[in-house]
Amino acid sequence: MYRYFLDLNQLTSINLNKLLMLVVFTSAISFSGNVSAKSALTLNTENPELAANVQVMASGEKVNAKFWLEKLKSALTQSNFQAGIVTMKADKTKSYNWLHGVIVDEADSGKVLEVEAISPLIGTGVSNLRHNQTVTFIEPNKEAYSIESDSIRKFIPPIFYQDIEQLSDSYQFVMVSKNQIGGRSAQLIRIESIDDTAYNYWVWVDVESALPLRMAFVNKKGEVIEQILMTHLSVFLEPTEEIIKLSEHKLPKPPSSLIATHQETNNWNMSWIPSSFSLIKSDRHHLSITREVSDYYLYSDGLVEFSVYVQRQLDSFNSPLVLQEGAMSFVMVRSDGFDVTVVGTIPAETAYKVASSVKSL
Amino acid sequence: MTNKHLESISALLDDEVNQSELENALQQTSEKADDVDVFTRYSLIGDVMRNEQVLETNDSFAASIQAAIANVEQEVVEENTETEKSSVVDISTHANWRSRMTQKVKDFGQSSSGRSSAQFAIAASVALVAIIGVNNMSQSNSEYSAPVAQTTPLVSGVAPVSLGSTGVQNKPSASQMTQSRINALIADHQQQLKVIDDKKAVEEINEDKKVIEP
Repeated sequence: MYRYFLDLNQLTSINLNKLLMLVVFTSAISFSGNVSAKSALTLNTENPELAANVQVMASGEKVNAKFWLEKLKSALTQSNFQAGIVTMKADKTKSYNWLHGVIVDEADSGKVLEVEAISPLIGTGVSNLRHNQTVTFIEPNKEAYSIESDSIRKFIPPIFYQDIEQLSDSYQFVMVSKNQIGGRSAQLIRIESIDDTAYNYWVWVDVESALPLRMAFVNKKGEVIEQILMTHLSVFLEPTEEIIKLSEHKLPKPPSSLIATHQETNNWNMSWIPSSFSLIKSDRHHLSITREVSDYYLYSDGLVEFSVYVQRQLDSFNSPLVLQEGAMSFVMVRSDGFDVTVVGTIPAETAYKVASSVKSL
Repeated sequence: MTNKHLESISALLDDEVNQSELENALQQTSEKADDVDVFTRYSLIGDVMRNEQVLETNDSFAASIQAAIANVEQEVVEENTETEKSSVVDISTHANWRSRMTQKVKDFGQSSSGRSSAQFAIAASVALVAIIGVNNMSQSNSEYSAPVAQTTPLVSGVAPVSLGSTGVQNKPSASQMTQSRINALIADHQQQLKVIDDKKAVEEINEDKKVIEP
């Protein structure tokens, strides 16, 4: 087993308050880590994998950005680790404890069970537990429920659990220099939007474990507008006791078909959608909070998504209404007899162009 | 002064006397007018303590204090007008009126004429200062109220707010409607992302590719 703590001085972009919070997080994490850590595992046990890397490189296989992203995917789905995560979105900071492990059941002909758990460090928010493709949402005072998904959509983009090649129409992968993050060597991979309609996504992959040490949404000017930082990482050869305990939970079954009653809608014509985005679904539904009816469209480019809502007009608001929090944009535009809203992880300019292109058929 | 002779009354009311003592006590009490008063008071105390009677306070006590204060209040004002030749209102509008008022009260308390009623004077001046203070505050409020009239919060940030309160408000204003729609839309967007079927998404993207290629 090996572990590290971030050299906090390196995080120059974080103000003093956040630094203090980080110290709190790190100490909290290290405490829980010590409980579950197995001292028998040493650095030496990691060497075979390292050696394999070197061989791959020596054998002339291309070590490019895609190579690293594929390594990232297998690390995310096949390794046993425990990590502390801090997400920084605008002036909001959230912290999570992240556990992942793979349990091979020898008795059941080597059946593999992937276990992943993400829980907030502070407060009682939503905790997630994943067994293979079943993701359960656990909230206090609410009945736990499950959905079917490859990953917990919390801070790691779901595409990292899938074939990264799906992004190649919208993004190009660039391998940049190696950096130091928390005293560890990290390979920076830039996932860059080809037509600049979406944000660029940078991921720093740990050279040893291939896990993401830092991820960031970066705008056209190269400014980091939202980032995810690993504050601590412990990698284990075997699943920890905690992982085994989590694997024994019985999760509620996901419903066979989630929402069957939604009717499709094609009342509107989007005259401008960035070419990298494609329609995932469209329907007409009631918003769960206000019960307002809305025609709904969801677009994705594989990495990020945005939603388009067409609703009846509000009494008054200053059109266009543009809000931004971290990488998320919210644009509401008054159109001819209806209001169009675009919400998603895209630049506000893109969202505005989409919103103002919506016309009734 | 001793209350020893009143013990018999107390015992009588508490039902702790025998027949001869009772007669004795009644005899004694009926002879003295003071003791009749004491008897009335003790029985009232007993009733109140046993919750058998609501204590009716005589408002003449409060009235006498009010009267005393009213007199003293005028004394204070007169004192001021004599020495400073200025009214209370003038003092109150002066920039340092608070410290000057305090000084006035102190001086008055130490002066030979004021010493006798010093306690009342301080109490009265506190009341006076409070009244002047309230007047001053309301005046300054009315002067500067115009720019502060913006009560509806501007839409800023997209943090989901507590939604329990929206149902209570009778007529949400336009900006509240906008804010609640913003919150609803952001919450819905995040909910929609939760339930994206990964496999369906993959198929859709693949289909899209096929369309583009030919």
